[in-house]
Amino acid sequence: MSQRAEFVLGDEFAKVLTETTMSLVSVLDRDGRILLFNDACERVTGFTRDEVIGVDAREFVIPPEEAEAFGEVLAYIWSTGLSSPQVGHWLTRNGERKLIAWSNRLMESEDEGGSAVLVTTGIDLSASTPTGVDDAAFEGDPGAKLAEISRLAQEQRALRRVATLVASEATPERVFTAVSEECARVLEVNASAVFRFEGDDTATIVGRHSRAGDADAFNLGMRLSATEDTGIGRVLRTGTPARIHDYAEKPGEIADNMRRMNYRSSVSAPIVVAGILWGAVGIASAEPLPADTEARLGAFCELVSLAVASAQAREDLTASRARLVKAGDEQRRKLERNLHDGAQQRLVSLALTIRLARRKLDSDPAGAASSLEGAAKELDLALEELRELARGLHPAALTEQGLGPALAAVAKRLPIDVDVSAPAERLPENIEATAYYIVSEALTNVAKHAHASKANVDLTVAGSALRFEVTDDGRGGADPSAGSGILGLRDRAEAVGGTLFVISPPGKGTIVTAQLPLSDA
Amino acid sequence: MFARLHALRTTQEQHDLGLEIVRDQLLPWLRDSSGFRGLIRLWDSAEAKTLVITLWADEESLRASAAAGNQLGELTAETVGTTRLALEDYEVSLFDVTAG
Repeated sequence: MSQRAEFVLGDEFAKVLTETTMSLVSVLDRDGRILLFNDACERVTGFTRDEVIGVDAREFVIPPEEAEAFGEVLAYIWSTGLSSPQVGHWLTRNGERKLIAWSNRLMESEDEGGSAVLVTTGIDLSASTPTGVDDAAFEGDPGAKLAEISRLAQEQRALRRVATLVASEATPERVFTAVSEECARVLEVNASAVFRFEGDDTATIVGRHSRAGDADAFNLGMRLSATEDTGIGRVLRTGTPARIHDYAEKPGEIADNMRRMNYRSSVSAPIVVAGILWGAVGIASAEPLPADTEARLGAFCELVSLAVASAQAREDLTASRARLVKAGDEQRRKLERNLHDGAQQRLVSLALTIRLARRKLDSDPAGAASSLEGAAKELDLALEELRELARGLHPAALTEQGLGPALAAVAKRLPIDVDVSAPAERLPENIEATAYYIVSEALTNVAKHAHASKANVDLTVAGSALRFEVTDDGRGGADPSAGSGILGLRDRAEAVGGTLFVISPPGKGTIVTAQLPLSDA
Repeated sequence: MFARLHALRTTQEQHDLGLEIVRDQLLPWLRDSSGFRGLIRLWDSAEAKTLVITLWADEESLRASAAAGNQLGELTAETVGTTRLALEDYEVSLFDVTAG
């Protein structure tokens, strides 16, 4: 039997593959500028490579509302070196939005002098959505046309019901449950669920519809492991709709529950909110699901994404307000305790010491002098404690000298080296106060928890926003979902219309990056 | 409930001065202390002895107030010109007081 050596994948092969593949292939530099744009990219977007090469992707193909999320993904990939599969939209020359599922990987490039570039490959999901099916409704036999038109009308009614619910400011739970019900109705199945990905390979059921009633094995609030053997797990990994033909031999909690409910197969599709893979809808059936289910569920999910985004935004806002109120209450309680146990106690002691000195004045002048000396020391300490508390409320240096000097004073009091770079110009009062609070809190966290030797604070005014970054060389691994520290910082940024993100890969330090708008301040 | 007992040797004059300090300076501060539940001051004129008992909700608040209790108690004794006979902590085993 003759043996042949495996085909060697050289540069020429890579070139041919890039230009002949139906997949979108592009290469970006660290700033998001396009370095390569293959034929498929040209076909899908209508832009030529001459137009886009060397230009930031956000100026051409990334829609404005997803530009920020795109930047976050780039920052994540460059800072961690990890791939980050995404689903997002591309704008075409004629203003259409195409839904693209992306995978990506960093690669060292000789053309770029040995620096890394980001290779991305994508599939145009819009090409498999019912756009084609809509056209088919106007071709073929009248029966099929009628069925297709009826189906589209049913989808429209379902969407209208969800939209009405969102407009009535229903609770997120009701909206998610309605989305689940409508998916089941449109896809004609008995059970469906809306899952929210939790950022750790798990997903929580936030909306559920099932005809099984109390006997249902999947309940609201259940947090399930989104493994590769599950539909939602595959959606999480690929950003595209996924099908499990048969759960008979599959391991895991989801498969166990599916068997218990006598569901044989499932189809899941992604819900993408502002360019980020937010969650998935899964439908289940005792019978094999029709061949076009992925496309239909995928298209429906794309349409309900806006409803989910609105509901999620409202839930986030409510939670954020509650956290801000709670944080304010806690701050006031802490302040009251600090005043009582610190300065007030010293002043009580001082009052007694002065009485003692007065009593000793005639009989023991030396003792009286000593008591007065003690009283003066006690008074100094009380004053220092009051100054410290006042600084915590709103430092005078911030009001009088601005962010740079105020943050430099914070840095000086910390037990680690901190470099602070801040604009000399004065900014709106509430933006300065918010930035001061966030940076001081982030630096305090670095000093307390990060095991870092140094930190860097860099604030710049870019256009109509204040951007800043706090980085450290500590152990990383900060979990935004644990405790209220990072959430509290994000709440503060969002309260003035800004954004805040934390990137903290284990062993690689932590980056807190925020942007606060100056125009609405 | 827990209690801290301060015992002092006091003349009439010292008792009156101590009472004024406790009422005007210590008590307003004590009332805002975590877990503070009340204060009882007892005087035995025949024995020239004053007892001050502060009451605390739990062992934690008793412990948290120990340093301040010791420092302010000693300072008060010195200010009224007397010495402290004892400073002791107790657990309250029965508490039945009718107001008024």
